[in-house]
Amino acid sequence: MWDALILNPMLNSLLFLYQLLFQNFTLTILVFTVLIRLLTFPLTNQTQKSQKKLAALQQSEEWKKTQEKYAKDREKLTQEQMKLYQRAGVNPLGSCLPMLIQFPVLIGLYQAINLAMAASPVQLLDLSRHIYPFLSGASSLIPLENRFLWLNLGLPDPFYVLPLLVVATTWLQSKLMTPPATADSQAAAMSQQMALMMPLMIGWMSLQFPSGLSIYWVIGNVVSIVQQAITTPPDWRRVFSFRAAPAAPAAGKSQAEKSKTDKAKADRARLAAPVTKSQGEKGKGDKSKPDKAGQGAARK
Amino acid sequence: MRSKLLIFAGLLLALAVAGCGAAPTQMWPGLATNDELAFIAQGQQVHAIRLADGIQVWAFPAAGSNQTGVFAAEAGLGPDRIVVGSEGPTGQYSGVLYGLDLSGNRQWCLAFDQKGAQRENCPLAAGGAQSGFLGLAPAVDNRIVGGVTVTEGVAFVGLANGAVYAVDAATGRDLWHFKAERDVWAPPLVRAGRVYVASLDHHIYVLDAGSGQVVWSKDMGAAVAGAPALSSDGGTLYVGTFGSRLYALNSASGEEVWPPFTATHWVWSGPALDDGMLYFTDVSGVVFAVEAATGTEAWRAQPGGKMRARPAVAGDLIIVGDRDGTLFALDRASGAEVWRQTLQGQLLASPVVLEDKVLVAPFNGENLLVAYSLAGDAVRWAYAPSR
Repeated sequence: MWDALILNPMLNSLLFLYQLLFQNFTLTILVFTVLIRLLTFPLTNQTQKSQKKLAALQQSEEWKKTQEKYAKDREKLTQEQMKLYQRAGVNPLGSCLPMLIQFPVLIGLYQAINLAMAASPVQLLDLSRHIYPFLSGASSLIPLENRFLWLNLGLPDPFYVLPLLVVATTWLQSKLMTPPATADSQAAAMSQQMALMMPLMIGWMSLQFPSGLSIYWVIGNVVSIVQQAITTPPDWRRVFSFRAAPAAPAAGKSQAEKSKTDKAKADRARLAAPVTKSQGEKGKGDKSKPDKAGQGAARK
Repeated sequence: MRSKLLIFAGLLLALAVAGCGAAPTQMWPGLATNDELAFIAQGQQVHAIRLADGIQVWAFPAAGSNQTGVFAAEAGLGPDRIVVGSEGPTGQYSGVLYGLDLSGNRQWCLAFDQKGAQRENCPLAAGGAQSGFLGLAPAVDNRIVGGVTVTEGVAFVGLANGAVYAVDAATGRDLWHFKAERDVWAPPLVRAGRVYVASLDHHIYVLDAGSGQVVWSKDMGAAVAGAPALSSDGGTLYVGTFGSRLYALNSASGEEVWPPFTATHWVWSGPALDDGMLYFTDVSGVVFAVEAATGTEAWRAQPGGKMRARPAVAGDLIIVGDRDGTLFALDRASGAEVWRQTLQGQLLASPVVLEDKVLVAPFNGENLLVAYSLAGDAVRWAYAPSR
C-alpha cells in the first residue's frame, strides 16, 4: 500500500527527472525537493497561518485575563480557552494536522532518494522491484551517478561539511517554525528544547547518512526557510536570540512580579528546610551546599 | 496538547528518517567449495564447514568483531591459500584482503586505504593512498563485495569503487591494478591469460592477466553485476545485464555472436552453461533455457518468487532458489518442477551441487548453510554459527 501510493510514484518520478536533468543526481534532488515543496505548499501555508493566528490569540489581553481568572481551575480554564478558540475561529490542532499529512510525503521522498542511491547489492535488488516497467530506459540509468564535488553521494561526507550544514539549516528552520512564546511557559520551554535537540539529533544521524540524503535534508530545509521568509517575514532578532524567549506571565502577573514571588517562595522554603528530617540529614551530610536543600524544598 | 503533538510528530519524523538512512550495507553470503570444505562468508566471519557432516572446522577471524568488519564476498580458493575479502567495519567502506593458510590462519593482508592499513596493520595497496579535496582522503568505497578468484597463484579481486587488483596469493604483494568507473560486484572470471571483469559502469572489461592492460572493453548499455560465463572452448562470453538482456560475445573481440536475448527483467547473474545450453534467471523470477550456439529459447518457467542467483545444473535437474526461500528442482529438458523445498531466509547466493548434495546458503535465515539430498527428500545437515 505504502509502496504503491507513495514510494513507487516518487521513486519513478525521481528517475524520470534524473533522465531529464543530465543524469545529475544532486540537481535531481534539488528540483524534486522544490517540486514536492511547491505541491505541499497549500498545507504548509495553512500550518503557518494557523500558527500565526494561534500565537496572536495567545498573546491577546483576553487570553491573558482568562488565564489569570481561572489559574486555579484547570478544567474551567480549558473550557474558557476552547470558547476563545471558537470565537476567534482558531483550531488549536489546525497547524498540526496539515503537518502530519505532509509527513508521509516527506518520508516517502526520503525513502525514494535512499532507495535510488542503492549502495549495496541487496538495496539494488530492492530497487529493481520498485521501477515501473513502462518507464523506458530506467534500467539503463542504474546505478545513478554518485559523484558531486568531493562527495560520493552513497557515502557519508568525510569532511563533515554536510552534517554541519544539516545542523545549521535544521536549527534555523526550527527557529523560524517555532511560534513566538505563548502564555504556556512549559510549552515554550519544550519548543525551545525541541528547536535545539532536533538539529543536533539529525546532525548526528547525518554523520552516518549517505551524503545524498544529507543534501536532500539541507535542500529541504533551505526551501522551507525561504518559504517561511516569504510568507511570514520573520523577526530575525528573535530567531538569532539564544536566550529563552520571555514567556507571557502565567496568571496575568508581570515577569518581574513573578520573579519576586518565586524568590519569596524559595526563601520561605530555605528557612523551612532544616525542619524536616530528610532535609536535616541532607543538610548534615552536605554542609557545603545548603542552598541546594532549600531549592529542593522550594520545588516541593 | 499542541506542543506535545508537534514534539511527537518531530520525533516520529526523526525516527522514520533514522530508519531509512541507517540501513546496514548487507549482502547475501558468499559460498565457495573445494573437495572437503565449504567456505561461507557472512557477517563478521568466514566459516569453513566440513562437507561430509556440516561441522565447522575453523572460522576466520576466530572471534568476529566489528573491528575486522563484514564478510560477504566469495572466497578465492588456491591449492595452499584461501583468499577472503572484507567490506570493512559497518559504515567505514574500508575493505581488506586476507590470505589464509588451509587451517584458516592469517598469512598476509592487504589494505586499500589508510583506515584499513591502520586498523589491520596491513600494507597499503598501490593506489590506496589517495588524496582529494584539499589534499584530504576522499570518500572512496573500498568494500570487497563481489568475491575473489585465485588462479595460478594469483588472486584477482574487484572493489566497490571499480578497482580490480591482481595480488600474489602466496605473499599478498599487489602485482597490478586496473580501475573501472563504477562498482565491481562479481568475482573476476580468469581463463587462458585473460581476466573478464563485469562492472556496474555498464562495461565488460577484458584484461591481460599478466599486466592488467585492457585487451578490449564493451559498453553493454546497462549495468553488469554478475560474473560472465565462458563457453568450454573459451570462444564465447555470455553476459547478463540490467537491460534485461543476455549477450553472447566473441571473447577475443567483443563482437556479438547472436542478437541479444531479451528476458523480462534484469539479468543479474551470468548463466550456467552445460552441454550446449545456457540456464539463467532474471530478477522477476523467470528461469530461462537458451541454446548457447544460437540464442534460441528452449523453455522458460516461473516456479516461484523473485530470483537473483545463477542456477546449478545437476544431471537432469536445474536447481535454483528464490528470494522467498524456496529451492526448486526443475526438469532440465522442459523446465517443469520436479521438487521444491522451503527454508527460512532468502536464497540469493547461487546453489552449489556436489555429488549427491545441493548446498544452499540462506540470507537472513536460521541456518547459514543447508545441505539437501539431490532427490529433494531430506536435509542432510544444516549449519548455524552458534552450533
